[in-house]
Amino acid sequence: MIENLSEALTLFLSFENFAVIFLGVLIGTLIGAIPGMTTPMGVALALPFTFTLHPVTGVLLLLGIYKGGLYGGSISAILLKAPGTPAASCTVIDGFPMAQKGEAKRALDMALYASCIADLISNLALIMLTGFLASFALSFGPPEFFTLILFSLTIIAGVSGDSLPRGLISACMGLFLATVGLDTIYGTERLIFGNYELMSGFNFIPVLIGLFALPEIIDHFARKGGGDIAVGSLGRVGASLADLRKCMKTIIRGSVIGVILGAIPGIGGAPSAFLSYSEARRNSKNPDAFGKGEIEGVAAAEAGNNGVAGATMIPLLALGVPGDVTTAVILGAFMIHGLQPGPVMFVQNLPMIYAIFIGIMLSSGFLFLIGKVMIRSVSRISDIPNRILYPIVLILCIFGSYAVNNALLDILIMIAMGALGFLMLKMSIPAAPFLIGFILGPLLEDSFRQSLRLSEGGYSIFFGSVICWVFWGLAALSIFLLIRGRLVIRDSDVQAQAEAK
Amino acid sequence: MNPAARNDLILGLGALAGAAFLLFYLIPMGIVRPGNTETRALAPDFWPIIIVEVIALAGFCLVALGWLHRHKAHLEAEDAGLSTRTGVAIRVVSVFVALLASYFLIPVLGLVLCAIVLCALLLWLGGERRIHIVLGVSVLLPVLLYLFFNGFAGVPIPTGLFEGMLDGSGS
Repeated sequence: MIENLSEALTLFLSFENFAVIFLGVLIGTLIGAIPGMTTPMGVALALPFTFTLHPVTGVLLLLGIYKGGLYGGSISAILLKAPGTPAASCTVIDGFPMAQKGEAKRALDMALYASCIADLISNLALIMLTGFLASFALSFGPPEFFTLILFSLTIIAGVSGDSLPRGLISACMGLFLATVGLDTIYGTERLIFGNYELMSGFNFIPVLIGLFALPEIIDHFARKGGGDIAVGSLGRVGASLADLRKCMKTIIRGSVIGVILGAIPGIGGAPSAFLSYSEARRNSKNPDAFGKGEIEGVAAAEAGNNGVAGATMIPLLALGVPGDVTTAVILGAFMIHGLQPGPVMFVQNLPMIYAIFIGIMLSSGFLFLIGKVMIRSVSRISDIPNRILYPIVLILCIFGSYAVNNALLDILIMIAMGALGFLMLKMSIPAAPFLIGFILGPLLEDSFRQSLRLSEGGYSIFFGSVICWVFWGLAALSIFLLIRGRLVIRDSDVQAQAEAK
Repeated sequence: MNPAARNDLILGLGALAGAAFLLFYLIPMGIVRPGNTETRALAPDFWPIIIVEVIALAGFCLVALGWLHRHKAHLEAEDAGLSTRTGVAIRVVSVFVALLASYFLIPVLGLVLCAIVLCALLLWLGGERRIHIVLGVSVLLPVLLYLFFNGFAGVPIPTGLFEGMLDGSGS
């Protein structure tokens, strides 16, 4: 233990790591503050810049962007009524009315305090639970992994938007694309049609960039310049200590909700934020003030939203399955560096995991620093016109896609994926399930086929152990919680609409 | 017909047609199946076939949903007019044509020059008319990215016609 910690400190203590975490949180906050830019998009665009970095440094950069992005979404939600992320849409309910009353600075301060506290609690949960879960997962065989990945595919229901069949079609397209390449058992060709550059399958980054960044850019040009909004004044008075004391119980409750829901693959920040908000309102002495600029509403939404940040990393690091879309991208980053998160990583690369933990804890501090010191300048980023921003992002996409393998084919794949992503956007087919399917597909197929080889073709192997049954049960529970989360969001929307009238 | 239901119907039928194409054409043509597979489930085409069957099932669900909700009241605004939709289509196609043209020109002109031209074109298409912004952004960004990837990350960025010139100054 001490030896591992000492190795972790050696790995972590470098100027480079401190700098990338700071830079990551700053970039993430900026990206989150820009309406139209999403956290997964930001993480995807930063991915090619991590190739030359040490794996720990690269992953910390992406984690910084993830955490900064979660908080940054609240800036545009409060100032522009344009949430940068779905989870930040809950912050709009009370944050924007506060901004209209000239209390934007107070709302932003509270969003920051709630985000940092929730992030810290979530990080502590990550550190305490991941090792335990990973040691348990060491006893897993292929059937257990198959049921685990099947359980984690319930994430698709969480990111499918309003229509599950559309999410299912999207996920299946991702799963199908992941089958391209050489067959892992027989070594025969699958859907490569003589193109030997595709023998190892489609590269993750061009697919990711094409699906997440390009459609937004194309859509901007389709709408021709729509969406440039002027940012209002921040106001002068920030949140007081009394405000923080008043909201502390709500923040802790929201953080715990975030940790629990974040640790279950697929639930994500939005249901957590809305559940935290509805609990805060239910427990408030003044529930009627919610929706009209109540600071406790901002605290509840942001605590629920940011409470998931560390927790989504629990299934990723312990089991190798992503907790949400952004952690799916981070899983890809691990793979690019030749690492497979999961129980085996705890055995082979424990100091690396401890170094990541140290960096994650530090990111909460940097988030507070950036939020406190740079909020005025950061909030001005929303002023950059999209007509300038999107061409810049497009050029980043092209260089990023090429840099993965130094292959022009990857640029073509990115363009093709962009066209597909744009069509999906126009047909209201969510892109996130595609990505989840694409990443988890090979793991699912491999564990399925390995299990069948062990059982000589018998399907009873998938019901042969307690762990398998636990995952079947968890999948059912996860679907139940997803449905409940959707109902909470729908009720909150109906309530907000009724109050607006 | 309710537009949402119509969309479900179109997408569902599209998914069914796509599934049929994959199942009866692409998979038999593109997946080599060895003769000595231990069980059917281990064959290289087993998993893709299962996925396609799920696509077909989801497509069928969408068709059924669209059919059931075809007369349901719909509150959303009507679709944009034909001229607006044509304008949108022209802009979208222009961007893709510019992207594809850049892709095919990279071996000749190099990635940096293609990116400069593409960036300037998109800034102009987006409505930016300040020439110093258009030139500043479109020249500076690709050059900085070239310097980062070529010089720092060790990624050889294709330079096309300028190969000798840029290699001397940039790497």
